[in-house]
Amino acid sequence: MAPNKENDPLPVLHRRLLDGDPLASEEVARLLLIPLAEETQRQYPRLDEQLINDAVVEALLDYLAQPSRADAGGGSGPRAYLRRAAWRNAANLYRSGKRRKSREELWIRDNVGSSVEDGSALGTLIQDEERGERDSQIADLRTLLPDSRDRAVLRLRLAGERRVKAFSEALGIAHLSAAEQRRIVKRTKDRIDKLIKRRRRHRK
Amino acid sequence: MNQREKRLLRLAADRAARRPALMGSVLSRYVSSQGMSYTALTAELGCSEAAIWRLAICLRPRSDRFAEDVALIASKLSVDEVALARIIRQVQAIEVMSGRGVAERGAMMAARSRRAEDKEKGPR
Repeated sequence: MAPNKENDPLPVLHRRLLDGDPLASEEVARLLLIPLAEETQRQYPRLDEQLINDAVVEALLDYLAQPSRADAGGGSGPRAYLRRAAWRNAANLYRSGKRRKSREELWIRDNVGSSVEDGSALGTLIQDEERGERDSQIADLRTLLPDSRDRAVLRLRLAGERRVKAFSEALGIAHLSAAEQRRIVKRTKDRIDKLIKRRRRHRK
Repeated sequence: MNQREKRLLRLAADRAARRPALMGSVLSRYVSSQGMSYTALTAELGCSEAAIWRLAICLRPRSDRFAEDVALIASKLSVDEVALARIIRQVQAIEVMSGRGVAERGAMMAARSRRAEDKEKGPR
C-alpha cells in the first residue's frame, strides 16, 4: 500500500487535512479506500466484502473527522494509523462472527445429540452462557446486522414502533418521497426478518 | 472508477451524513429540509451522482475562507458554485435558527415566568 516516501502524497494531504482544506478529505479517500480495503481483505480473507468495506470506511471517516489522532498514535503516520484502525474494526467484526459460529455449533450439538448427562457441565455451560449472554447478544446482533441503521430499525420494531416516518429517520431517508420511504422501509424490514429467520433455522 | 471504488465511495458518502465535519451532513440536512431526493440534488448542483459522493466526503468550507473553499470544491468536483454556496449557507442558517430557536424559546419562557411572578406580586 505504501509508495516510496518521496512520492507519497499522503503526508502533504495529512497536513492539508489538519489545516481544514475541504478537498483534502476527498483526496485522501480516493487515495486510500481501495488499497486499504484490499489490504484488510488480505488480512481477513474470511470476511465478506461488505464487512471489509464497513471496517475501512468507518476507519477512514474517523480519521477525516479527527486527523490529529494519527499524529498521537506513536508517530507512525496516517497510513499506519488507518491500517491499524481498519484492521481493528475488521477484527472486531471477525471475532464477533467467530463467537457466533461457536455458539451455534454448541447449540446444534446439544440439540442433535443425546441428553446432557453431566449436570455440572450443563450448570457451567448455563452459567457461562448467562455471564456472557449480554455481550454475546450484542456481538451477535452486530454480526447479524453490521449496519447501525438496520439495528436501529430492529430496536424500533421491538419497541412497537409502526410509523414509516420513524423508520425513515432511523434509515436517513426522510428526504425521499413517501412512496420511496415506504418501499425502502419495507425492504429493510423484510431483509432483517429473513436474516433472523435464517439464523433461527441454523440454530434448530 | 471501478465497481469496488464506487461501492466504497457510496458507502463513505452515506456514512458521512452522520459526521458534522463533513459535507455529507450538510447535503443530508439540505435534502431533508427541502423534502427532495438526491437525484434532485444532483440536478440542482448540475453534477453526476459520483460527484455528490465525492462532495459528501469533503470537509465543510472554512468560515474564514468560505468563498475560496467553495470555489475550490466547485471547480474540482464540477458542481455549480453558486448553488453549492447557497446550499451551505441555507444549512448554516437552519443550524443557527434551530440553535437560536431553543434560546428564544428559553427566553420567552423566562419572560412568561417573570410576568406570572409580577402578577402574583400585584402592582407596585
